[in-house]
Amino acid sequence: MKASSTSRRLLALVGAALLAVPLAACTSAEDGAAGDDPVTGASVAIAGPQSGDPYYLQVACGARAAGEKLGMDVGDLQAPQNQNQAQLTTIVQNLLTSSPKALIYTPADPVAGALPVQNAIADGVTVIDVDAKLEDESVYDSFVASDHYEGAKEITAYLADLVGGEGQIAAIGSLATNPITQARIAGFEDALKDYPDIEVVSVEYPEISADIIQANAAATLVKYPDLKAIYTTNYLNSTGASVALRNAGLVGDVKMVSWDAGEANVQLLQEGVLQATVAQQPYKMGELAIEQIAKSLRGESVDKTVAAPVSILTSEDVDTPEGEALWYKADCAG
Amino acid sequence: MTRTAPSSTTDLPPLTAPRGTPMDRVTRHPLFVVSSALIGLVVMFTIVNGWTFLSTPNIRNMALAGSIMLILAVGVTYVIITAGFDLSVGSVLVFSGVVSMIVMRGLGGEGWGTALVGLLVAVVCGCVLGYVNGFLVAYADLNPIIVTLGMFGAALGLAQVATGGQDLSGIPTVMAQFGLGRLVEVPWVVIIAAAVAVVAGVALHYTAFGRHTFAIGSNKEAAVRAGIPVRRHLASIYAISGLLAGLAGWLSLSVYGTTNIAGHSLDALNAATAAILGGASLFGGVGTIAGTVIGNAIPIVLANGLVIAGLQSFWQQVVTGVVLVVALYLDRLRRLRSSRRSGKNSAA
Amino acid sequence: MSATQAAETALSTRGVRVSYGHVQALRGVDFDCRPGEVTALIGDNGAGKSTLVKVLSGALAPDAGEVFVAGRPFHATAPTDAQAAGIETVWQDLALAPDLGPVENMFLGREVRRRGVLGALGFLDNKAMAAVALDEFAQLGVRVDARRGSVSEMSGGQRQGVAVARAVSWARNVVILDEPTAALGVVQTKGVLDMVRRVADRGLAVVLITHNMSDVLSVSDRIEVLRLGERVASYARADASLETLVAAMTGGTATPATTPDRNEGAE
Repeated sequence: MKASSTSRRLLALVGAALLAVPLAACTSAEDGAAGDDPVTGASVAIAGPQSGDPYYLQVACGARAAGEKLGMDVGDLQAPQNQNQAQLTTIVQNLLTSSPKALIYTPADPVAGALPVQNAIADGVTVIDVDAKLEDESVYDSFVASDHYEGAKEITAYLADLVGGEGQIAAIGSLATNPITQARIAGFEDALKDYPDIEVVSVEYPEISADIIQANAAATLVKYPDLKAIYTTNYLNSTGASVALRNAGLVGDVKMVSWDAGEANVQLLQEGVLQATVAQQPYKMGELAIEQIAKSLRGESVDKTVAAPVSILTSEDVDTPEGEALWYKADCAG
Repeated sequence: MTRTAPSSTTDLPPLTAPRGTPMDRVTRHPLFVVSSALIGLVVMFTIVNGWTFLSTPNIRNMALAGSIMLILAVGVTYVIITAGFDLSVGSVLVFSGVVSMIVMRGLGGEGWGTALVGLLVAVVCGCVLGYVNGFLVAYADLNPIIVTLGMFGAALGLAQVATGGQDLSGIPTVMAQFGLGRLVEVPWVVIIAAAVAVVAGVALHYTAFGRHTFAIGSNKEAAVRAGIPVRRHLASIYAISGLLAGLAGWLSLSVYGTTNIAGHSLDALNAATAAILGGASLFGGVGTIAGTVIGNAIPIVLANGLVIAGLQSFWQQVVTGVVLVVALYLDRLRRLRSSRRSGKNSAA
Repeated sequence: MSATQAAETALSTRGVRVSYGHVQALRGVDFDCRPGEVTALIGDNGAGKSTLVKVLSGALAPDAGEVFVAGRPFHATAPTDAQAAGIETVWQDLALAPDLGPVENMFLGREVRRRGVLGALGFLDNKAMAAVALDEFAQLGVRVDARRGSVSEMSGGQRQGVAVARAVSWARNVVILDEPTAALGVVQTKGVLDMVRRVADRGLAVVLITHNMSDVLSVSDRIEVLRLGERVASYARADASLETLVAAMTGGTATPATTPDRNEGAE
């Protein structure tokens, strides 16, 4: 009998706590109405496709810094664990129920990602699509991203020059349905059209698992003993491929490039396993997104597409002050 | 036991089934189907890809690729034999690796002192998480799929909380050397995985602990009545699965140098596939470590062979799925045949 | 119990009461069985047989009354206590692990370990166990090849044989068999009954719970009849006939008849 009264009390506490949460959310939303400038106090929600990636954290960092300068109320990054659009859709729907003034959104899937924001604009929410482009352009006000296609061409040209303009190159992409992967591979392939003596011998899309990527890269190295370079589209692929290169004793002989400058790729650059990477500027993207939101809230015209700058970070300049500025930081200090 | 002298010599026990030819014994062996599948794949890929497929570097690649998964699969085999399931091994691997990495980075140092502390931390982490699973399954009587599914999410979430969401690097130098290092051309990681498999196999088939594991999976009530401490045993089985996931986490750190948080979400299913391909029954009571080793090798060989053959890796998942279904079907046929045989010959 | 009574019985109860809530399953039951004898426990549905079996096998502690093993008071909190006292029970579900073989099932929970360090680590002595098991099966006439196959591949009669052989080989005093022939055909039933006789001939007390009157009449030495939670009759085989037993079970009176021959009604 003692146990059941204790558990009843516990249930009551939990129930009260659960009720308190939406109440708190409601009250905080009300606070946004003060001031003449529609930007002041505007609530901005942020949703991304993967919680484990510092890249999307940087977008949120940049948005928060720029937003708070303007007096906005910018939320934390909300994301599922693994590029799961279904879970992300639920997250976005939850965010939209508290009626934010704007949503900064990176979908995991270009088509299905439009689902949760179909009616957002009609409901008065400014939607900024960041980084991964939604196919249905009518559901967002502005698209802010690096030009993955152009960035891919840029780093592929760098890679092609590294190998002297000739030889066999392989590519490792990740999710073949992901528009970013598609753009990065398309840029890679198109850039190499200018190098007739370079042959793209394989483009693989192994399952997103450390061991599987490693095994895939290793098998490719066995199949093409004359391989000169590997083009990878993200740090998971470059990490897996680096193990394969090390095991085969081909570090430095086979050149490798990748995307993004998180801790993994920075370390590979420092060790010389990775020759160069495309350093995006997710922080800047967050800032640019806020810029577009401010324009929208003030009734000014919004740019449909905004290109964020990218840089090439190489193993030579990774430790210079300019290089270090391009590293993706885990926290919002940078 | 009370026994008296045999009362008569006329009651010689007849056989339940005719012994058959040695060839029969081979084809009826439980591992026959999966071994044939593996051998068939190897032969096929050697024909299609040439001798590079069987070259030392390539075999070494395949062995390395399968090692960490094998360690997970061994633990999961034990769990499946008890008619349970462990969906959390990938997340436990990640979490143990994360905690281990944090501790090692905190200690600093590039030598084995730090590395071994990291190993201990990873193994203990895995064991503790595994025991939590086991406690909930054995003592609170909760469904293992639900419990380990919860742990799958919780462990991964905790790992992300601990790292702020980003992968950590910075293992001691000796660990990186160990991850790449070899003993007489065999990678250390492969040696460790093989040792784990051997110890697990011997324990499973030759000790009372292993015998009780089979008994619990075969008929839990019978095991209880036989005086086997079923709850304690079940909890320890899940603890073992977690412990091996922790070991795998540390090994993964030494190979990849990074915690790879996003890269292990499918591990539990791949491990279970290896065990089931190898003959473990989801109903419990049946399974072998040798079978798991072979079952683990099949997707690895497939992945490697398909890449070298030039087929898109998407096909690998299709073919693995087909092989799994065919293997299960043939195994079912074998069981039906054997029970029909015994039915015909029952005399008593 | 008097000293002479105590020495005679292997397992007895006096005044055992068990209630499930308001339902009185046993209302002061007396029960006796002797070494070397097959004692049948019979009664209609609801007479309390299964409850009494639970008490006898140590699975259930009575609310009141005493249980005696070889004349000494006995208190069980779990079936393992009963096993320690030399009482083994074969339940209707047999409690066999279907994926394991006859030898493994024989030694389930009581495996023989190797000597020395290996044994301390838990390594099994399969050869020793197989030798003992094969010997037991042979003695009891259980027709299985103990070396191969799992128990699930055997017929019902063979499985029964394995379960009974297990109980018999571990029992020191009493073997309790709960409806051993319920699921078996005629030929298999005869095999089991022959085995029951052999077990008693070894000096163990066998308690046979059954619905089947012909089994009772063919193999038992004594018959204890339960009705509505009490023992209403206790017969020596010679004094029992189908009519008297049924009458005792249902509470009617038997039409007096001449004492039947020992084997009447059995085959």
